[in-house]
Amino acid sequence: MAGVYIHIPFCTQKCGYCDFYSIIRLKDKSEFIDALVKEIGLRAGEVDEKIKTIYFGGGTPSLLKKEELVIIFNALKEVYDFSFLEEITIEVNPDDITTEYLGDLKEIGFNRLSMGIQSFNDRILTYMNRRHGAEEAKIAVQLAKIAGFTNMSIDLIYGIPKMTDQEWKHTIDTAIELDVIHISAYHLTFEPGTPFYKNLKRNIVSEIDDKESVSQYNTLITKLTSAKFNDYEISNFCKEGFESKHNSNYWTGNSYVGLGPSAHSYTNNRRRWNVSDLKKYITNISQDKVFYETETLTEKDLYNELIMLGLRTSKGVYLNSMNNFSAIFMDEFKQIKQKNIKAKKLIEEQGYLKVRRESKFLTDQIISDFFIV
Amino acid sequence: MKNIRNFCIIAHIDHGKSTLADRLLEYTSTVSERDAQAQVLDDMDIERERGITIKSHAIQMDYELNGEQYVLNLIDTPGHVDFSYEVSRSIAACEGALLIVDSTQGIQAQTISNLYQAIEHDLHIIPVMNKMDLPNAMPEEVEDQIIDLIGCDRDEIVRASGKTGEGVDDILEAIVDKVPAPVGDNKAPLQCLIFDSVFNSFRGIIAYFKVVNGEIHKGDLVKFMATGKEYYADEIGVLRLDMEPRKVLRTGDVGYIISGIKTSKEVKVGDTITQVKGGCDARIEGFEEVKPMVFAGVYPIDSDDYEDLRASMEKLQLNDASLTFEPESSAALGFGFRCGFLGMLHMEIIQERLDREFDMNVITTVPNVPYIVHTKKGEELEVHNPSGLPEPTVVDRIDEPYIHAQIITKSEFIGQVMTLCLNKRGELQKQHYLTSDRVELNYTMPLAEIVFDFYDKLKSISKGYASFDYYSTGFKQAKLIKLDILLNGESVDALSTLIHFDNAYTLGRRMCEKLQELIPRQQFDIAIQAAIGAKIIARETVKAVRKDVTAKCYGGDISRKRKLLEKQKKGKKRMKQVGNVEVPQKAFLAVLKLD
Repeated sequence: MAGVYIHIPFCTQKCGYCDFYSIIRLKDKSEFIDALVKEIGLRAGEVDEKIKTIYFGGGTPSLLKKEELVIIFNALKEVYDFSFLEEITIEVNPDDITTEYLGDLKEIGFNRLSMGIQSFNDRILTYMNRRHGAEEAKIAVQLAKIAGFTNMSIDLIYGIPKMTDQEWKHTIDTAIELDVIHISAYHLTFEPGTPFYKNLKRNIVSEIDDKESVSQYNTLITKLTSAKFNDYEISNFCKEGFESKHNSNYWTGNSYVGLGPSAHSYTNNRRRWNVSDLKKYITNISQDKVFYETETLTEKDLYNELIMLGLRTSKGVYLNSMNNFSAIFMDEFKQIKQKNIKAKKLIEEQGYLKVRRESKFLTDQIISDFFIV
Repeated sequence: MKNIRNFCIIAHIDHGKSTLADRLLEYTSTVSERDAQAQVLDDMDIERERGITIKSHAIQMDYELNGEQYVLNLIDTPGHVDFSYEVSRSIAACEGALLIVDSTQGIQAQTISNLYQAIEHDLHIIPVMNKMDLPNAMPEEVEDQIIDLIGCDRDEIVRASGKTGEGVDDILEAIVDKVPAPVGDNKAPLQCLIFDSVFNSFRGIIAYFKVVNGEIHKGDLVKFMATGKEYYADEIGVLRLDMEPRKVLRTGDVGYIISGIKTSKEVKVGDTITQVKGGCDARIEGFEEVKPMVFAGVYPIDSDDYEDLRASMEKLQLNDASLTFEPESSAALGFGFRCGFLGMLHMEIIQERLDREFDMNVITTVPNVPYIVHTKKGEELEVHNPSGLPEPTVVDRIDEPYIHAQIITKSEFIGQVMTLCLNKRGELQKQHYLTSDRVELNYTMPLAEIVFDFYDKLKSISKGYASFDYYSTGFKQAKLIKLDILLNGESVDALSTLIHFDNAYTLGRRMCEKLQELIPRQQFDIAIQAAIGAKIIARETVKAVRKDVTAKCYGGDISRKRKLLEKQKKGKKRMKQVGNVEVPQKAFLAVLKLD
């Protein structure tokens, strides 16, 4: 069953590290919603109407008011059958959280929150240009729990220049104390186009040493494991049974429809991405012009992606799923598999091939070793 | 014969030779209009892209002046020092030369050395100032330079523009009026000078020649005197835009011969064609065997491709006789070939052709010059590879090739140029002011120093203004030692260089620094060391990668991350495994790219 992603491209300020598409002009909100509603209609029938998950990402979806979310929801209901829905997530910013807003979200039908917290240290939050403080974030988490959002994820970032081990440990400990059931913890990457990237290129900041990265990752794993979290994907950790269904859907190669500017879709071996420009998105949709690009994945692309996504998860690559590929792919796969098992980077368990914990931090290397180019 | 004019063009790269040549073809209706491909004479892709003529060609034009019909043969010359011998043979086939000088840049070193050759062969020189349409043309100043150089009158200099067509008629008239008709005896035994050859996959090797004496007929049994081989002239003809067969070619004519020759080695530029029966006794003077002056190892990235590489080299040699190769093996790189090139440009061209025409992924090692090693027993060995050097204990002395270098620069850069030459072990022979702000410097220096980064440096210190040309002057004794590079303690033979003792420490340190930059981080630390014998003189470390993982990979990231990792994999495939270290191709040429 498929997932639906909706991209809300608005923020009130830009975070230094973020390369998701967003703009800080909120004026176009209503025009955007009109265009989005139209797109939802246009895309009807692209996947089976019995969808399993909906995910509002951004940008900052929590900048949308109840009425605006309702309009989008109603449009979705026109097109999709909601009776099979298991997970409806919205990304929220801690300082948008009020008891009232949480009530609205519940009422609309959201059953999962993903809160962008990033750090429980004010200095680091300021450095990243976040618009909330540590205390505010803690309160937001508690309010959400009181409002009944037990299924909640928080985002954290490590590998930040000049962040001490102590500060990182404090952030993890705080997350554990708050008793959230899902944590996405990302190592900072300097993505082209971001303020951080510009500073890197101007030598104003530098990336932290690999050793520090590894040490912070190990701290994360150790602390979360002892707090009974599973590391079900490189950057995702959860209590038993609380995996993100929407995201897991990406990693198992299932279909998804992405709506809104910059959103990606994947259906029938075809990937499509909408234009990353709100103006163009709105204009082209209203004038019935093309507002997206597509590519059809070849067998090689599918093979590479299946390995890339599979090896990032703790479950690994389902070996039987490899049998669908041509013999030359299989031969290559078997050979690289054996090589990496021998090198103690991979392990085969119950029909799955996975990266050993000690090699997790070198996953990209292992993935590209398998790649057929 | 009196209505034939054979001429060539002498010009520096970028001075607009090909464009102006195209105009001549157009004005004489040899080509009707500019077809899709600009610059008809340069028909190799690489030539067109680089805007330089690598191999010479020839083309015949018809021209009418004052009611007389003339046949003009333009013999094109390659425009780079690596091919100076071929230039000399093209010049020898002509009676006149257009000296083309860019009116915005003035005379360059290479123009001068080719001009001297033309004057030596008594060619009539027609000076042409090109690119007169450009706003930054400085005709008076450039005229002064030309007058100073060839001692002509100011009004003899043709002002032209290949772009607008200005002066093209004047040039054509000057060719007819001033260039003498060929001399020679149509009744004498046949003597044809080969000035070029090309490979055609259907016809074999086609030799281009000028009939110096006598007549050649289709079907004649002829002999190529240097090789002693005999062939039937299956087809002879003249070179228009395409080849046009003829029954006979007479003294003064320029044409081609097809005689079923399969390999370019049998057709030597400068050789003489004569008849087997009643042929001439003596060869035309000036023939030389072309000897490679730069050697480098060429290895397949994937050792399975060795045989394919051999086949590709053989094919390349079919139309490029100046390329030599012999099998060699390297502990680091496996099996490959030691190739001899005329010079650095030639080497680059071969590398590029291997890639483009044969899809061969190769590593080229640091080039070196040939060395003559005198052993204590009095033997003399020619060594083409630093790793082929005999043990130091048996070596009496090593000689290296020297050149005479000619550099022309703006006088404001003279200080930097002299410092560069000094650092390159050059000895100043002569200094001569061409005009008040242009100076010609003559140096003797070791060829090996030119092979490294001389030309790039010269260009950069002179802001692109200095030009340079050279010719070999023989071998001289030198104090050379072998510098080895070690990766994780293992010597990489393909990175060894022979170097003058005084430069060894600096070079060793810079090699290590450069390699540290070029070798990507891997799963373990990599020690890079430079050594002379057992003594380590420099060291750098490439730190191990401990983190190589993408943070997030959601719906919108998947395509991009896949493509990124695919690119990484492609890069890795192009690297060579040396011991346990993966070394990128460019690292093997690190020594050439030291700043």
